[in-house]
Formats: sequence, structure tokens, C-alpha cells
Amino acid sequence: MEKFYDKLAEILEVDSVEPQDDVSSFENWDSLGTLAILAMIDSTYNVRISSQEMKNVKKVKDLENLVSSKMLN
Amino acid sequence: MPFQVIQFVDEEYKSNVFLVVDLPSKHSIIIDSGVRAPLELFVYLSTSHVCLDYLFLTHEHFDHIGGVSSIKTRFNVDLVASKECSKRLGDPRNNLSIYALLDGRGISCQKADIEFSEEQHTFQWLNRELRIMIMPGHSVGGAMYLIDQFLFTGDILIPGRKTITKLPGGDKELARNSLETVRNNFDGTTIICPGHGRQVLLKDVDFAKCYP
Repeated sequence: MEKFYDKLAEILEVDSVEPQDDVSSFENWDSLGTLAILAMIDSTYNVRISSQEMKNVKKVKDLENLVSSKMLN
Repeated sequence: MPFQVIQFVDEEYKSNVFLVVDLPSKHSIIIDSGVRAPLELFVYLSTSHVCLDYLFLTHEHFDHIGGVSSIKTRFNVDLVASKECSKRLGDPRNNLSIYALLDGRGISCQKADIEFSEEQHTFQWLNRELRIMIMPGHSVGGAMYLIDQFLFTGDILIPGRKTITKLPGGDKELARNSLETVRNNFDGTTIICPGHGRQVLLKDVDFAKCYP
């Protein structure tokens, strides 16, 4: 997961992403941005995230925790 | 003008569906199909006595291919797409529908009936010669279609917006090359018909805003 934040920053087109950042604070956290993030998570970590799960993500850390928990299952 | 371009807009993702009607013969083609084919398109084709000949795709993303099955079922037309686009139509991961928050609905289409893989290609439709150009960068299977002065650019060129390259298959350098090709090879009076948004003249496109 060490590159997770770098990959998010690249997709969201920002210099860096921090765990406590509100996802709604990113201009590119829109339908296209979340699409790209879900595709990245699937191809990189082999994890699928549902639309309902994505709607519950408020902080960047929430997304990381979600991916981590699914990788363990 | 011997033909008419009618623009429909998909409600969900605001993707354009273009109907090109050859007025003398009342034959037509469709460029892209939306997440769902717009109801207005079916109404128009059913009430105007226009014959639909082909459905062309500019690229393989779900918001442009979701209506393929319903259009093919209703009108029994051949689907035309680049080879790279065609081979991604059936896989919801490759056409991105599985990630599109469509409540788990993935879109899977059959492969194109007519595929092309050469960088430049011509296609005979009625007495017209359509010019087909492979244009990767936004997606692997991107293509543009030139019909007279109308250039259907898909999502590789959407005037006023930076070309999206962050989706799987996107490539900034290829996108820039594709944009340069459009900028350098077409007349300013060419009418850009993009995958989303309004039609504009090529001379009014600010390419600086489009380069990724």
C-alpha cells in the first residue's frame, strides 16, 4: 500500500494526498475521478469497491482502510 | 446542406449521440450510443422514415457504448469500430462500466461487425467517403470520423476541456499527438462534434485548454 497515496495524488492531479484529507476537498473527486480510482484499485490490488462503499468514504484514510480490509479477506 | 447532423444527449453521463442523416436518400448513421440510447433517437427514427445503416463508435468507454445492444436489436445494423475498441466492448472492466457506479450493472457488448486497424482508413457510405482516423490517448481504441466538414472526435477532443488521460488505457503523449493531428490537418471551418458538449468550429477551439 506504500504507493497508494502517490497513485491517488496522480489521479487527483495534486502534489500530495494525506490520510486526513476530506475526499470532497479535491476538485477531481468527481464521477470521472472516482472511476479512475476504482479502476486503479482493482488493477493494482485486485480489490472491487461497490458504489455504496464508495459513497461512505469521507476521508482518504477511509478508502485506504477499505482497500486494506478487502485485501485481507 | 445535403445532410443533417442531429445531436442527442445521454441523460446520465451527458455523452453525445449523433445521428447523421443523408437528406436526399433518407439514409443515416449513428456515432456513439450513450450509456443508454436516448428515447428521442428511437422516436425520431421510428417516425421520420429514415433508414439506419451503421452504428460507429469513437471509443470503448461505457458512456458511449451502452446503447449498442438496443440499437442493434431494434435496427439490425452493423457496428463499426477500431479493432482495439472492438475487443474491449465485451469486458466491463475494459469498457469501465464495472467502475461507473451504475449499481453494479456492467455493460457487455458484442464485438464490432466491421473493424479497422489502419491509422487512416476510408469507408464508403452511400456515395460518400468517410475518413476514419485512429486516435489513441484518451483510450486505446479511440477513433475519429470525418464526414464532409463534420469531425466526430469522441473524448479525445472536447473543446474547452483538458483531454482525460487518467483512465486505464489513457496516455498523455498519445493524446497530445492526436490533438496535434487534428490541429494541423483540418480546416478551421471543420465542425467539431465531440463526445460531450457542444459542436464548435475548429478555428474556435483553444487547444491550450485541451492538451493534457
